[in-house]
Amino acid sequence: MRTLVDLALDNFRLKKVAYADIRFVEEESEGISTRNGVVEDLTASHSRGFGVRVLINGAWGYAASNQLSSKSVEQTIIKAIKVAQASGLILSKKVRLAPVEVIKNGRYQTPFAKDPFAIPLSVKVKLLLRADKAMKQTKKIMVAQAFYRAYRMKKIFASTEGTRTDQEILETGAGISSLAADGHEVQNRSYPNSFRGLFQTRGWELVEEADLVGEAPRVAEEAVALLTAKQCPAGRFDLILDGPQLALQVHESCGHPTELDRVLGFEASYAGTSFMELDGLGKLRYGSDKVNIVADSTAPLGLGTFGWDDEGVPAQKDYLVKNGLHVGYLTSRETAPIIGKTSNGTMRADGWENLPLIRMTNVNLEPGEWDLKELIADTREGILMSTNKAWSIDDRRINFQFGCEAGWEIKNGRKGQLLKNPSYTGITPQFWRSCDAVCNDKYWKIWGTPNCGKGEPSQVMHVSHGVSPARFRKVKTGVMKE
Amino acid sequence: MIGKRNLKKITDYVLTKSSADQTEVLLSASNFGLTRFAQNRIHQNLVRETSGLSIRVVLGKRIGVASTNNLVKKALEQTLAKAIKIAQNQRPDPDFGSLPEKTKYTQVKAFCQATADFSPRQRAKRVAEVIKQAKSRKMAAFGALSNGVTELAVANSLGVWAWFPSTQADFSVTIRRDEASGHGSDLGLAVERLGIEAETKKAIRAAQKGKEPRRISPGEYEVVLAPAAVNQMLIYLAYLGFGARAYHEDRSFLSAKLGEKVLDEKITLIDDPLDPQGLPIPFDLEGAAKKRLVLVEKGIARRIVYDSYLAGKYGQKNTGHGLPAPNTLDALATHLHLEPARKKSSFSGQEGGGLKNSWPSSDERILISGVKKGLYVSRFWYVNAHHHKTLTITGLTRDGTFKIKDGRIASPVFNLRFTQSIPEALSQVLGIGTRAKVLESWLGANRVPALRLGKFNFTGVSRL
Repeated sequence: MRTLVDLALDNFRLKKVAYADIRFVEEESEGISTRNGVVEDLTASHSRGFGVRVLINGAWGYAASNQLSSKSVEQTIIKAIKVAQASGLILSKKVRLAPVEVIKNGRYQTPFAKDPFAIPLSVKVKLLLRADKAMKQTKKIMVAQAFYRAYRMKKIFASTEGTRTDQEILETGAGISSLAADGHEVQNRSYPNSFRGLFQTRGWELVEEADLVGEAPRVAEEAVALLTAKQCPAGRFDLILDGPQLALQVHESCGHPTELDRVLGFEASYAGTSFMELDGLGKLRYGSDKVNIVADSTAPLGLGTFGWDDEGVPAQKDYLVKNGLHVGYLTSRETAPIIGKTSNGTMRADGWENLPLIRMTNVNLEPGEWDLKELIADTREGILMSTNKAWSIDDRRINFQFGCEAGWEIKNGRKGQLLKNPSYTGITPQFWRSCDAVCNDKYWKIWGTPNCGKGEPSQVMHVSHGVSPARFRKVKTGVMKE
Repeated sequence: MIGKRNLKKITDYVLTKSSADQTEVLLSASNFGLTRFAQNRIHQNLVRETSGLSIRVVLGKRIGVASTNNLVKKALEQTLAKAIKIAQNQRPDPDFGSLPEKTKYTQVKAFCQATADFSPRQRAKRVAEVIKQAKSRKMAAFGALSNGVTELAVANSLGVWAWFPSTQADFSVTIRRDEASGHGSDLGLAVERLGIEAETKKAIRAAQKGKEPRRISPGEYEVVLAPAAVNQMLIYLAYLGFGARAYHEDRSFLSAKLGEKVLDEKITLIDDPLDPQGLPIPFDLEGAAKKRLVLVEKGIARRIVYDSYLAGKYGQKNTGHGLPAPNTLDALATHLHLEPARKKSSFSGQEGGGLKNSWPSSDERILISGVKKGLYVSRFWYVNAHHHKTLTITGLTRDGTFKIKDGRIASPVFNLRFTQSIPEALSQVLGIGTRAKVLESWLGANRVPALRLGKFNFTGVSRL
C-alpha cells in the first residue's frame, strides 16, 4: 500500500496539480443476528480501494477504484483530473483551502480491550441465542431478535502538502428487540437502543457489559405491556427524554443544521439546507442557557472519534452551541474560511469509493446538574419517553416529529403508567429554548448512530452523540390518532 | 465493464472450488459518474469503478455468507473459505428449503451504450444548460446529473446463471429564489432521453409561483398529490405492506386480509419489474425469475411477495422478490405501478385551462380543476413510519405547496407536516392522473400518476 501512496504522490507532482490527496481504505465487518432462535444472519465482509481528490484551477475532481495496482492508481489520477477539468467548465468561484498543520507520519488507533474478530464465532452465536430465547416469554412475542456487529477500518491518507496519516478504527455494537402482537396491536421494545443496539469504538467488552441476556425478560415484558397500554395523550406536557432518544434529537436538530455545507446550499437539492444561517452565528438564541453542544472527535468511545479527518485535519473539540447561543459550525478546509476560521476537522467519507463531505463527528450535549430521580420528582405533569421508533424533520431542520417505543406518565413527581405510541413534535429553537434541565454526568453516555445518511451518491456515516436525559417544557405530544 | 464471459469465469471458479452442499455467488460491477451542482456551479464531481462479490454456502441447513470486492482468485478462495467456516459455526435453520432452482428468464433490455459512455465533460455541458436557465431568471440551481452502467450476475450450484447489464441515468434539480423553490427529476436507461430541460422549466415555474408563501392552519384537507408525493406512499407500502414476512408476522396492514377490500376500488397496484418503461430487471438477487404480479386489484388485496426462504417457510411459491443474502428484512416489491386512469376525466372533473404550461402538469391540472378548496403538494420529504401496522407515516411537504381554490392553484403556503395512515388516504381516491411518471423506488423504479384524495391529515407547519 505504501508503494502505491508514493506512486500517487509522484504522479500528482508530475501532473502539477495545485492540491491532491489519496486515501486508501480497507474495511472488514462481521455481523450476526438471530430471529426467534434462528441465526438468520452470520456474515463477514471485506472491502478495499482508494479515492483520489484533485483540485485544479479551483475546481474539484474525485475518482475511485478498487483495483489496487500501479496502473490503476495512475489511471484513476488521470480520471480525477478529467473530472476536475469538467468541473472547471462552470466555475463561478475558485475553491481555496484553509491552511492546516502538516502531519508527517501520523498514527492513531481507537483503544479496545477485546478484539471482537478474535472471539470465536460459536461464543458470539451462543450469547445472542441465549438473549433471543430469554425474550420468548409468551406467545405474544411474535419476533425476538438479537444483534451483534463489529467493524474495522484501516485508512492511509496522504496529500501533496506532505501530510501522511495511518489510522485504525474498531467499532462494536450489540442489542436486542422484542416485537409483540395480539392480532390488533403491534409494539416493539429494544435494548440498549433501537436499530440494532448500542455502537461504540470499543471491542467485545461492550457486548459483555451490555448484559443482553439479563435485560431480555424486561424488554419482552415491556413489549407485551405496550399492547394494552394507554395511548399517549395529545396535549402539551413537560417532556423528559432518555439518552437514546435525546441522542437522535441532537443528531437531527443540531448536528445536521450546523453542517456548514448545508448552510451554504451544497445539499439544497437533496438533504436540504439549514435554519442556522450565517447571519445568526453568534446571535441566534438556539436554546436555553442550559444547552451546550460540542462537536468533539476526541471524545472516547464515539463513532466520530479519530485522529484526523479525511482532509488530514486533527481531531478536535469545538462548540456549536454555548449557553444556548449558536457559536459554531461543522466545517471543512473549503468552507471554514467563509466564516473566517480554519477547519474543525469534520470531512469524512463513507469507504474508499465516496468523496469526503462535512459530517458529524461526536456531537454531544454536555451534562448538566440534575439527578434523573430528582428531575422526575420535580415534574408535576409530564411524560418520560424512551428509545426512538420514528423520526422526521423538514429540509431546513425546523419542524421535527419523533415517535418513541415507550412512554410513562409523570404525575406529581411520580413515574406512572406505561403509554404506547408516544410521540412529540416541535420547532427546533423553541424546543431547545424550553430545555430547563439536563441530567448530570452520572447519566451521560455516548450513543452511536451508525446509519447517518447524506450526499449524492448516498453515503452512510457512523457518528455519535453523548447525552444525559433532559427535560423540555410544554411540548406538543400525542400526534398519532387513537 | 467486466463482461458476461469474465463474470461467468469468476462465478464458475467459486462454484467449482466450493465443497458446500449448495453455493450461490452474487456478483456486481459498475462504473458510475455523478456531477452535483449548487448555487449555479459544480461543487462535487466524481467517477468510480466498483465491484462486489458475495458467496452464500449451505451445509445441510446451515448457512454462511461472506463478501469481498477483490476478484482475484486468491481472494475468491479466501472468501469461500470464510463463508464455509461461518456455516460450520452456524445453527441449522429448520425453515431453510433450498436455493432457487435453474429457471428461464424473460428477455428484457435495459442497456444504452450512450449512457455508459457519457463523460464528465458531457455531464458538465448539460448542467451548464440548467444553470444558464436559472441564471437568466436570477434564480439559483441545485441538483445532480448521474450516469452509470452495472452488470449483475447470479449463479448457484443448482444451475442458476443469470447475467444482466443495465444503464441508468438520473437527473434532479431544485430551483430557488428567496424562500420559494421548485423541484424536478427524471430517471431512465438513456441519459439523452432525460427530460432535463422540461424538468428545469417545471422547477422554475414552481419557484416563480411559490413567492411569498403564507401560513395555513393544520388540519384535514382535500389534496392533489403530484406523482413524487404519491411515490413516497408506494415506497412505504412496499417496505412495510407487501412483504411476506410482515404479512405472516401480523405486522402488515394486509395481514389476514388477502381477498378483502383494503383500498379504494380505483386503486390497482402491480409489481411490474419487466416493464420496459421503468428500470426493468429479469431476475431477483437470488436469481429467481421476476414477473408481473397484481398486488391490489380495484382495491382488493390479491398477492404478497416472497423470496426463496419465505416461500419455503410459509409453503408458498417464490415470487422473485429476494434481496442479497442474508435478507433480514423482507421480500421487497421493487417496481410498483399504480395504474393511471384510462381516460382523462374518468375519475375527475372537467379539464382546467392553461394545459400548455409545464407546471402543474396537464394531468394534475385536471385533478385540481375538480377541487373547490384544498391543497396541491409537489413532493414529500423525510417520510418515516410511526406505526407499521396501520402504515401511519409522517413527513413534510417540500418545494411547492399551494392552496387550491375553485379548481385552480391559488397562493403558496409554508411547508406542512402530515401524519397520515396510507391505507386510509388511499381509501378516499377522488381522481387518478392519466400519466404515470417513472420515479425511484427501493431498488428499481415505480410508475406513479398524480392522485386526488378526499382527506389528508396535516398536523403542523414548518416555520420559525
